[in-house]
Amino acid sequence: MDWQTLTASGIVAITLVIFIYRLARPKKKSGCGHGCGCGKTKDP
Amino acid sequence: MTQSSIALSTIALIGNPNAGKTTLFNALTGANQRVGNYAGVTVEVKSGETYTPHGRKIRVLDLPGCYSLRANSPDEKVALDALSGTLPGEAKPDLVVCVVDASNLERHLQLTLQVIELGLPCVLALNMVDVAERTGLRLDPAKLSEELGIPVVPMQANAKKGIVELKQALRLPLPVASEITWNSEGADPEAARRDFIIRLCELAARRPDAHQQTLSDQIDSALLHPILGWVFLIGIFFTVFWAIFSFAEIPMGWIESGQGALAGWVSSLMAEGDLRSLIVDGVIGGAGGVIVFLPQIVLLFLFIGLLESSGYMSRAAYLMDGVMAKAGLSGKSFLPLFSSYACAIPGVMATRTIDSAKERLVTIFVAPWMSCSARLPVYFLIIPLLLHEKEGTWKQALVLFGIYALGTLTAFVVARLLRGRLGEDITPGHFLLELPPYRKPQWSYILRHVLDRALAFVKKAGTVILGLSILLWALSTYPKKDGVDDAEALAHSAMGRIGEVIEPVVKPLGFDGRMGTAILTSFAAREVFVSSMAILYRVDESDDEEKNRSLLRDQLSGSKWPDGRPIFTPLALVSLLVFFIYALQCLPTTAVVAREAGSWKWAIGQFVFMTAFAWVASLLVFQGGKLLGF
Repeated sequence: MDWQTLTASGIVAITLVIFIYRLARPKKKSGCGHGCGCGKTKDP
Repeated sequence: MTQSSIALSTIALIGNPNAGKTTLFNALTGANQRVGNYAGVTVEVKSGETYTPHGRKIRVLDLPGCYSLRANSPDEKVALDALSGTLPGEAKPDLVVCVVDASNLERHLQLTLQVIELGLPCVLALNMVDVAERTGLRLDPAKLSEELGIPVVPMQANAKKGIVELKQALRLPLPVASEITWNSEGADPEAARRDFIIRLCELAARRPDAHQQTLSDQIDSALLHPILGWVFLIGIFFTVFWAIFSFAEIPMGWIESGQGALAGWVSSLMAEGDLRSLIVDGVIGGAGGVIVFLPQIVLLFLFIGLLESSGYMSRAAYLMDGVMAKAGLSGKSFLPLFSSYACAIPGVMATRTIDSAKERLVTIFVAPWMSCSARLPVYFLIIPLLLHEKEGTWKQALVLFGIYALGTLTAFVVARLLRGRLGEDITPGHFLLELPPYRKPQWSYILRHVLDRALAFVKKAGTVILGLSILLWALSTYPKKDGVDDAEALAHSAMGRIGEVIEPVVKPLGFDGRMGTAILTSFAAREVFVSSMAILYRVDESDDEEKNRSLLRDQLSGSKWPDGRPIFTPLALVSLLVFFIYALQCLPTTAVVAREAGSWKWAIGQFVFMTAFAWVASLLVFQGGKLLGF
């Protein structure tokens, strides 16, 4: 396996781990999640 | 006036919708909450911090706008709970700042009197004094203060005038709760308040004898005209869409040529291999393919901001009220549905302003059919394919207008049917629409709002879409088969195999397996469809600007079925557009619907219904079109 394939596979693996972590972690209770640019609320 | 020595920690801003609470909240706290020149922008409690002139920190709560404390709708209940100290996680506020529109005291003071009746210490923020003065109203804040028994601060929150004076009023010791002088035993409290306010306004807010027609009245005579009003409404929105296509062309060209140059530079630095392919095809081609549409997104939100800030949106709501009634909804559903054009999530949350639970459920159900901004990259990719660029931007704008109209019209028809099935409300609701005077756009807020949306779009492209593009690249590259051409390599990859499985489901709609796979990936986020298409149809970036600008479109229009027929025929493209108009491809929206409707059954039912509806509608368009000879 050449270095480009190895590096690309590493990047893909890290991305996959991040996605799995994001899906598995407990969700914060929030308003709209700010994903669509709605207002930001400071926590009390 | 007597004073108390309560230690101030929390103040709450309350007032009628569109009194300027959020503008005042932003001015006090330096926050950037969304504001608009129409009612009901705030639907939940927001908090921030400010300082008195002596440097003492104060917590500020921005409550949803409400006309009374009767708690008819979820947002009014939130406001009442916050004032009573029964809102989970919030203590009772130490002081309430009642924000009123000085040009409309007769109505706004109703709520102030109700707050005073709760026994809470109050300060009256007499906002928009500039508007009141322009209408010829002669205000006497000292007399108002004397009669109400609370401090009154004249201000103009959007120009940050009166903020220092308001902060002075928040110093220790705090004002104590005022005595109630308008309620006599046995009298109807509403009538007592109304009589008191009439007397108070005669003393402290005298109107000129004759009604003067303001500039807003004159503009409204045209913009709210039963026929001309609709001509203006359609004309304004069509112009917005035309401007989006026309003005965005130049910056889009810059972004595309920048991407082409970057891809060319990476290709010249690295030998051919998987990493180069990942960077060029996956990252630059995938995530970069979505970033190209940033100028159009920015322009859309700039125009929406201008329409909101000027006060035109309330006029649009007024015109739409009759149409909403035909759909079994009231004008209260307009704002949530309108918000959904930007993003269904705040739209669904804005349904909290609706009193009727049944109307709220119906509005939540149809809100995702208002074409949200996440669909725009898909539309901007498909529309120029459908109409060649030389056809002129006005035709593209017309198609985009038609897309918005089709989604909205279908939403109204389904709302009508659903409302009929749910039955009438036990207690009839009421809808009070405020038509604020036209104002000069607040550029600082508009630009900050546009910047927020642009950053959110770039952030999404740089995180979720980038990650998905990397995974999609891997799925379309591995497992590898040496010594074959690109098409065979893709067919051998995991994505190619998924496409094979999906193709029988999407082929009746006019789509091949790759399009089916791209649609499947777009259920994570709609914009991913563009990245997926770029990766699946293997677009090679080039530093040749002209070549690069239309490369994805060229690649798509050159794609063929195995028997040599083109895949992207006008009929297949229309079918694809129809699918995207109707499909609910947004998991965060489904999660918010479940929370707001209080039922996962409702959210899953909506998801299944909309996806099935999209499939059937696309099928009818494609097969019907074929039968008609298209």
